[in-house]
Amino acid sequence: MSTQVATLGEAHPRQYHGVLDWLTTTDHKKIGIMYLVFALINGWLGGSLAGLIRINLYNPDWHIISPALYNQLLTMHATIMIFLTLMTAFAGMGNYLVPLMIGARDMAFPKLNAFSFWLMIPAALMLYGSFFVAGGAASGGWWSYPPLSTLQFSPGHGEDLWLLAVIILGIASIMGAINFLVTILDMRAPGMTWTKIPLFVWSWLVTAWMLLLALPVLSGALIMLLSDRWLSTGFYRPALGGDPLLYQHLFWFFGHPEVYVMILPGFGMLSHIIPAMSRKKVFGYKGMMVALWAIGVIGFMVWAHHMFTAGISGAARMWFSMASMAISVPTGVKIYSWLASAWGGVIRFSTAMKFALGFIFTFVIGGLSGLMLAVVPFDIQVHNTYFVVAHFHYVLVGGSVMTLFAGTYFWFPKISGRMLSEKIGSWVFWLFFIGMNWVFMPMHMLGIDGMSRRVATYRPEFKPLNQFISEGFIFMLAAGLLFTYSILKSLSEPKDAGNDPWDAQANGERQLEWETASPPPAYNFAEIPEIR
Amino acid sequence: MNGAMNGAMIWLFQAVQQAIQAAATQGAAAPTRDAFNAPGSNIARLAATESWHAFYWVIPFILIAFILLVVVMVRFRDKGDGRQPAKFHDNNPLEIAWTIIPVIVVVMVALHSYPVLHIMEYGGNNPAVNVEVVGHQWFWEYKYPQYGIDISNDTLVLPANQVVDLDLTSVDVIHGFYVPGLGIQEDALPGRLTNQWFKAQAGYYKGQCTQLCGVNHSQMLIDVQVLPDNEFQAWLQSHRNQPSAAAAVATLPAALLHLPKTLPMQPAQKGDTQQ
Repeated sequence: MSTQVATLGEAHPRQYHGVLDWLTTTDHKKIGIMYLVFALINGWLGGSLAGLIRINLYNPDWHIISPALYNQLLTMHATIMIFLTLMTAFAGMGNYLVPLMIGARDMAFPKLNAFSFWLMIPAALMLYGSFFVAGGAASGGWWSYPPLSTLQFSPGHGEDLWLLAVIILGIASIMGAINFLVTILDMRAPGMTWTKIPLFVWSWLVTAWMLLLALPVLSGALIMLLSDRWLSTGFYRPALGGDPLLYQHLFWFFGHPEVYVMILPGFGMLSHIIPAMSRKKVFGYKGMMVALWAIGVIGFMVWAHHMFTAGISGAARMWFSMASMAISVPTGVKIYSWLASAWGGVIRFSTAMKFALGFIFTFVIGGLSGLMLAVVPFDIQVHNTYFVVAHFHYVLVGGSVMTLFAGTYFWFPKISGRMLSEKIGSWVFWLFFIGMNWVFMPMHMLGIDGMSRRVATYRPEFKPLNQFISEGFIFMLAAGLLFTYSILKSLSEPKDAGNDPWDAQANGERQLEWETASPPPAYNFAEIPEIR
Repeated sequence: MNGAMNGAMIWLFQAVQQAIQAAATQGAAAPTRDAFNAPGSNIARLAATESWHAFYWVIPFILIAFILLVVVMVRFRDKGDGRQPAKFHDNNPLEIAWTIIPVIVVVMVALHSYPVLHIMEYGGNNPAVNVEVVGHQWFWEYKYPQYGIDISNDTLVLPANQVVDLDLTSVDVIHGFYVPGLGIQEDALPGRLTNQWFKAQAGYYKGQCTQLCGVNHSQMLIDVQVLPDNEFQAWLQSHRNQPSAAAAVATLPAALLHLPKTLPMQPAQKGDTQQ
C-alpha cells in the first residue's frame, strides 16, 4: 500500500518539505490540521479575553479595565470565538474527515480549499491588529448594531477592520461551503448511496448549505454598513430615511443559522463517537438525518427571536416564538437517539465518551433554556441579560466545545497516529465539566435578578455571584492547559495507534476513515474503496 | 489522583456554600426586584405566571433526558463480564412518539402564551399617564406631555395602580429600557417609536440599559418610583410648569424633536390597532 501511495506522490509536479510544504499544501488533511491548530491558538487568545473580562467583573469597584477597552474585549472575544475558533475547528474536522469518510482522495477543489484557509490569516491579523489602531478595536458587540457602529458613534478604524475581516472570513466560508457541497455530492465512493452517507458527512452537508445561504446575507449587510460609514449612504441611518432595524433582520437572518453552523458538525461527531464507544450501531439513522435537515430548514425561520424587544409586530412575535420552539423537536430527536444508541451497549468511558455524555447533560440545559427564551413573556424578562449569556454559553461551550473535545480525543489517533493520554483526558474532562457548569450556571440567576449583559461594572447586589463565577474560570483554564499539554506531550510519542484504535468497526458498519492507516497516507486510499 | 479529586470536590462545596452565604447577607441591601421574586406590575405577574407554565412543561423533558442518561451510564457501562451489546438500531413507534409528543407540547406552550402576548401588546387602552422615554448616550429623558414635564437623568415617577403607557425612542444609538421588577423591556430605537404599558404597584424599582450603547453603557441605570395617587399628584405639582421644559414638549411627538422633519416616522405597532 505504501509503495503505491509513494508512486501517487511522485506523480505530483513538485514536492516541498518542512514549512514550505505546509505553506503550499493542498492536501485536505494538512489543511484540516492547520485549521485545527489555528482554532486552538485562537481559542487560547479568545479565552484570554474572557479571562480579562472575568477579572474585571470580579469586583465592580476595581475598574481595572476601562469601559472603552471592556467593550472592545467583549466584541473581540465573541468574534474570535465564533469566527476563528468554533467555525474554524469544525471546518478543520470537516476538512480532515469528510474526504476520508466518503472514500475520496481529497476535497473537490483542493486549491480553493487552501485559499479558504489562507484567507483566514489576514482576517485574523486585521482583527488582532485592530487593538493597536487609534480608538482601539471594534467595540459595538459582535452584532455591530448601527447606529452604534456608524461613523458618528464609532469613529475609529477598529470598526472598519472588524467589518472587513468578517467580510473576508465570510468569503472564505462561502468558498469552503461550496467545496464541501460539491465534495459530498460528487466525490463519494462508488456504492455510497444517500442512506449510507456517514452522519458526520450529512451534518456537514447541512452545515454547508446553511453557510451558503446565510453568509452572503451577512456580507451584504456588512457591506451596506461600510457604505453607510464611508459613502454617505443611509441604509441604516434614520436621518436619511434608513432603519437600524433592517440591519438587525439581515444580521440575524445570518446570525441564527450561524448558531446551527456551530453545533451541527458537533452533532455529527457525536453520532459516531457514542455508537463506537457503546459498541453499537447508531440508533435511528434516518431520523437523525431528517432531524439534521429539519434543523437546517427551520433554522432559517426563527431569526427574529433575537429581536423580541426591538418593537417587532405582535404577529411576528407569535410566529418566531412558535418556530423557535419547534427547533427543539428535531434537537430532542437527536438527544433521544443518542441515548438509544448507548442503550443496551457495552460502554467504554473513554475521554471522548465522557465528553459526549457530558455534552448531553449540558446541551439539554442549554437547549431547554433556549426553549424558555422562545416564550415571549419570559424572554422579555431576561432578554439581553446574563440569562441569555448563560444560555448561549451552555450551547456553545457546553455544546460545541464539548463535542470538539470529544471529537479531538476520538480522532486524534487517526490524525496523528498517536493516542492522547486517557489519564490526563479524565482530568481535562472533569476540570472542564465542573468549571463550565460553575461559570455558566450562576449566570442564569444573575440574568433573572436583572443584570444586563455587556456591562463593565454592576450594582453591588450582583457581586457575590460574579465573584463565584470568576473563581470557576480557573477550572476551565486548568482544563485548557492540561489539554494543550497533553497534545504537545503526545507528539513526542511513537505512532502506534493502529488503523482502528477504538475498534469502531466492531459494530459491523464500514467506516472508511478507520480502514486506512493512522495517519492516512497522502491521497488517503491507494484504491478507492467500494461500498456494497 | 482520587485524593486530589476529593480535595477539589470539597473545595467546590465550600465555595458554593460561601457564595450562598454572601448572597444571603448582601441581599439585605435592597436587591433589584424581578418579575419572578417580587412582581411589581400586572405585566410582570402575567409574564411570571406564563413563564412558570412553560417551565412546568419543560421540566419533564429535562428529567426524562437526565434519568435516561444516568440509567445508560450505570446500567450499560462495560463491567468486563463479556456481555454482548444489543443489536437494535431503530424503533419506528418510539421515534414517532418522541417526535409527535414534543410537537404537541411545543404548540401547546406557544399557543398558551399568545393571549398573554396579546394583552402585553394591545392592552392598556386609555392610559392615565403617558410618558415619552427618550434614550441618550448615556442617560434617560422622561417627558410627560400631559403635564409639560421634561426631566433628564432622574428618577422616573409614576402613579400606582393606573395604566401607564411608555413610548420609547432614542436620539442617538439603540438603548434598551429594562425594569425587571415591572416586567418590562423594550428597545428605544432612533427613528422609531416602540411602546409598553403596565399597571404598577407602589414601590421602588431598579433597572438598566440592556442594549450595548457605547462606553458608559453600564452606567445607564434606571430608577423608577411608583407613588400612590396623592403623592404622585404632589410630585406633579412640584414639577409642573417648568417653563423651558413645558414649551419644548407641548406640541410635537418626542422623536420628531430630535430628528429631521422629513423623516418618515414608523408608527408603533400598537398605535395601528388601538381603538
